[in-house]
Amino acid sequence: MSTEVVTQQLPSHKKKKEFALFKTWKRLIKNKMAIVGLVIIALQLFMALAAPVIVGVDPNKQNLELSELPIGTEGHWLGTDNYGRDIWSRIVYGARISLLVGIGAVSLGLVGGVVLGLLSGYYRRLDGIIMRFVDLMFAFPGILLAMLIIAILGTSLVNVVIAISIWSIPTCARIVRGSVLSIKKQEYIIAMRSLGASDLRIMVRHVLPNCMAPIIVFATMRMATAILSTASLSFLGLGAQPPTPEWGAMIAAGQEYMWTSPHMIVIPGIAIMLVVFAFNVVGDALRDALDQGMSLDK
Amino acid sequence: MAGLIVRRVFQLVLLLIGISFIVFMSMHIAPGDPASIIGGPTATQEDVEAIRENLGLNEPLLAQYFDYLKGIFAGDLGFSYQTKQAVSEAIIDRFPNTLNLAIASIIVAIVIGVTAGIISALKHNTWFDGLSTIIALGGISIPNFWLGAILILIFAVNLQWFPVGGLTEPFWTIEGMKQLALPAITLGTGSAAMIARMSRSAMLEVIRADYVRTARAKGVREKTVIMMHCLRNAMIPVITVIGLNFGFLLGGTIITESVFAINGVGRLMIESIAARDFPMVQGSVLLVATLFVLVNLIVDIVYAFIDPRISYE
Repeated sequence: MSTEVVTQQLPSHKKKKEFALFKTWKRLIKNKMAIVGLVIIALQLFMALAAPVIVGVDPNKQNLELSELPIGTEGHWLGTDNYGRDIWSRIVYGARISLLVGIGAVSLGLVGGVVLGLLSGYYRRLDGIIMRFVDLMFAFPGILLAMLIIAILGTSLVNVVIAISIWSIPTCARIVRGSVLSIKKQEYIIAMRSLGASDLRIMVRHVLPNCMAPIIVFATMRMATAILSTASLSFLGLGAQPPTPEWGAMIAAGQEYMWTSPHMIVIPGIAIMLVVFAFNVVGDALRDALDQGMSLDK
Repeated sequence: MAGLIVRRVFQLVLLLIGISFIVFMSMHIAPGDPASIIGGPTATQEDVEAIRENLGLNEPLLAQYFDYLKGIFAGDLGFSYQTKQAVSEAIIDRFPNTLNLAIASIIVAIVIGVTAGIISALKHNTWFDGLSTIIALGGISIPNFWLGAILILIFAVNLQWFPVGGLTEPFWTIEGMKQLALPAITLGTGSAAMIARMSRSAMLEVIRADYVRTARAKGVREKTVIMMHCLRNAMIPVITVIGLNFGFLLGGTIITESVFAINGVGRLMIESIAARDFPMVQGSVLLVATLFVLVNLIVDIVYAFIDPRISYE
């Protein structure tokens, strides 16, 4: 059999990868909850990207004559707040903020966590010191670490992104380290090393792509945590400052008026819950889909 | 077992030193000179310099850190920039409220979580199981500050069953329990959801185990199989989740205390961050982080006692 024939019979590496992705996607959309989650995330993405087209009203435009209008009012179908600002437009622009903050915090956290996890898992000499540092960060219960960082940096949305990203680093580092420890024992890594490939090349080209499954699941679930924490910190006055249409800050502002205009807190709360729920269920479903894929591959 | 405890306590001491160092450094990284903040806008350069000298801020950093450590052991966490009150005194005043809230919340979480998880597993793939799975996911996703506000709106304002906020009465009185009820439900919901998910999966695993099938085959009553054989073993991983959640609840009290206007350590922390009152922030963070690692240590040891297979090598 000629080499050409063999090449034709074997699917290419790229095709194999595409096939695996397709199978994971198929497994994912078999899960009804995941579909609900994906639809909510798609809607949020659409709201975030097309906010000016969807609402056409400045979310910060005040009109005291129209203050505290109830849900269902013509022209303001989700009502208005105490300053007469349209709640629907603030929710739509809030979707943009929550998505941006979530993506920013998770991406930064991933960069830090992946680098530390790769180094820790790959180099035994660095493992002890990096993992002790990670243990130390784990000694602070979640939001407390974020608050300490905000106490140092000051209250703002950008600092919330930094705080949440730092808070995400230890978990991500542990997940990546765990994967690296098992991957680096694989034969193809030993083969790459004997072929003289540099450590950096092995880590970036061969180890990292194989750690992607747990990283993707972590990132999806972390989006939920990041969005929830941003809202919580803004609610406490440590994140977004008025008049930014951030969902947590909207609830904080509405608290004073909840006796007369409960919609001021109910609507942003539902928005936060739906988005966090969506990322949680998609993360859960992704983990199942990728787990199944990995067990089938074996 | 003794070896495990000694090893864990040694790790804890190292961790506490690390925590104290991070907390100490946070004040030095933060912008603004503590001496100028204490002196206020009217202080002269000489006044600021005298305060610096008095606080030992001219000493080398390491010497300052050792002074800080010595202070911690002596119960001296410094003085508030804002109220000039001793930090340890302010924390001791407010800590009982935080602890009461955390304990009440974990009770709510265990009762709801374990019950829902076990029933879900026993009624696997029924409408109850489906509903409780969705509610558990919702419980994890719900912002607890929002849930708190909604509970206040319904049960305190409209129905007037509970007070709107505050925690002034002792928890063993009816009034005290009423004051604790809404904050405890608010804080405990997320943990209840996590405990329910864990109890369900642990119970499902045990129900399908060979020894349970053998017990049933031997004719043991279903109630005895569930209570004696399944529950005992299913609860081992759940205890860990409960312990870890208690640690997180201590952190979670920060938000709940703000919603319900409870004078606890969490609210003190928020007020201090807003006022840039660093000694107060440091003291509160140090307390919560120390309690968190202590709870984790206890969970580890209890886990090893319950499950002798654990050796933590």
